[in-house]
Amino acid sequence: MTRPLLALALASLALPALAEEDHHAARVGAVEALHAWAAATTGPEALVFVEFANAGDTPARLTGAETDLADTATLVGFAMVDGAGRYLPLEAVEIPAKGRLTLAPEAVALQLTGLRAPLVAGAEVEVSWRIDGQALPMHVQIEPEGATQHGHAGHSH
Amino acid sequence: MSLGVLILRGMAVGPLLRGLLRRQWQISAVFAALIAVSVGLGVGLIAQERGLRQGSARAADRFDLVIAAPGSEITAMLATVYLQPADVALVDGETWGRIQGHPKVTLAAPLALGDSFDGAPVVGTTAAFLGHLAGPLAEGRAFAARDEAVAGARVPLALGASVTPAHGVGHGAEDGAHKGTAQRIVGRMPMTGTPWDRAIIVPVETVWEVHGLPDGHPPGWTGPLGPPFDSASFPGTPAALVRSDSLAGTYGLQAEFSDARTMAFFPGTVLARLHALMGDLRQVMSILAVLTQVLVTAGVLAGLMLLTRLIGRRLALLRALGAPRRFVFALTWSYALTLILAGAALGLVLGLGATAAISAAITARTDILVTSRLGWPELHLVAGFVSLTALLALIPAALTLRRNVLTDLRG
Repeated sequence: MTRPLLALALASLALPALAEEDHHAARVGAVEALHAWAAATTGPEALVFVEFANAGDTPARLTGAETDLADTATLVGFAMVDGAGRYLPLEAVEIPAKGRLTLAPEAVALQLTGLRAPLVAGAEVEVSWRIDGQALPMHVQIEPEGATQHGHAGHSH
Repeated sequence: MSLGVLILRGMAVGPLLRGLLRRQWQISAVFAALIAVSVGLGVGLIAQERGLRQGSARAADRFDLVIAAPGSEITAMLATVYLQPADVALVDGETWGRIQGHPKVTLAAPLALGDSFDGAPVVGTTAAFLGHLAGPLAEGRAFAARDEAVAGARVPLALGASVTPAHGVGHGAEDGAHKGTAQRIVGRMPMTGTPWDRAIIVPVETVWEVHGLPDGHPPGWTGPLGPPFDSASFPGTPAALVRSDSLAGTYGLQAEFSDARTMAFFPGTVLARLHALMGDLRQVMSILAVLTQVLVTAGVLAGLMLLTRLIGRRLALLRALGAPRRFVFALTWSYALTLILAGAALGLVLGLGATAAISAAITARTDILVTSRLGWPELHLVAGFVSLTALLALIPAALTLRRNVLTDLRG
């Protein structure tokens, strides 16, 4: 009698953790997206970052994302041009087979221009990534202004 | 600006201001020089920091993607972009085969580091990398044989000179280790503004061979130098410079080669992250620069208060002759403002000179071409300084009005 009760108690303890993981992760096909985040801003532009893991045997193609947050959402890549860093538009980036692609500051990012509302720290917004022609909607955690990594950095799921 | 219009409206202070400056030219010159030195230091500091940041980033421009064995990205970047000696693990032949055979790779060049000649790093690589790094050669041609080399723009060796590399770099270099081998300089790279200007570049096969390693080609190979290299005969490289046909392709390669066996990184990204870390330092420097300037100006304005005491009799005479209080106020304020403006303008020139001199010194020491020019941040700094001190100058001007005319007239 006590064993099922104990199992129930343990399961109820684990539930919030599972829910949190679901909240910060999304999957389409063999590709999983983890911890999407952006830094809070009141300006017209923002960059969204995320981590993709492809468990499949073939590369997946990330072509951008859709969102109601801004007028445009463009996939961009950081490059040094004559000693100055710039984000240049990218048509698509491959997520390698059995590999990862990390969208991060000064690397690949989703650039939102014409933000319709400020991004407030602690809030969550939604973007829908386009991977191999399929939509992958997920929550984006808004981190404090000037953040350089998501709040779960170093935390392994 | 509007403050000046408000204060000087209807007041023809020009002739008296000129007279005041003429009569007090020595003290005016000292005050303006003090302001100039503080403005020059501030402007020079900010412009120099930006110049160094851009120069170091420009040096990494040609290094699209570096693939190395897992470890520190910063160490690998310092070794490849800035040719700083470092002990790093090697990328093996199997991995090299994956890089070289990847359909998205348009250029893959191994970099063999660690030898030197007379203090100049000797780097083994491919002729294709030479072309990518520096474009067409300034003199001569690229190496086509194992005993040929290309000199960087700042290497003080003429075409035809012969070099025998020492094993290692700096004080620990073993001069006789590669005895019996010699490379003849057959070409010279144009100036790149990077530490590669001081390097001697040789075929990578030569570096492997003189170290008693397989030369990257199958035994009995008689073909030309350079890629493709044979995975089984590939002795390993500390780093490979890799290019793709597009930025997206390069990011795809980075994702693919960031695994347990290799790390792939953009030197530009590593630098940008380092620069971002220093962003706060830059802000502190700007604040300190403004504070120093304001402190010097406060000292000058305090001196100005003493000066108004010295010229109090003349100002009192003006008042006695019927000059309105506002005229005396406007005269004193415009005198202070003239010193501030002259000092700020002279400070900009001084800052420009100081940055040029420091840039040249840094370029000579590091081989990173640092070109500092005055830009908007410096002009904003000076504009902020002038606005703030123009407001502060209201204090001595106001104090002259509080002086008793009769007392000043009596002397």
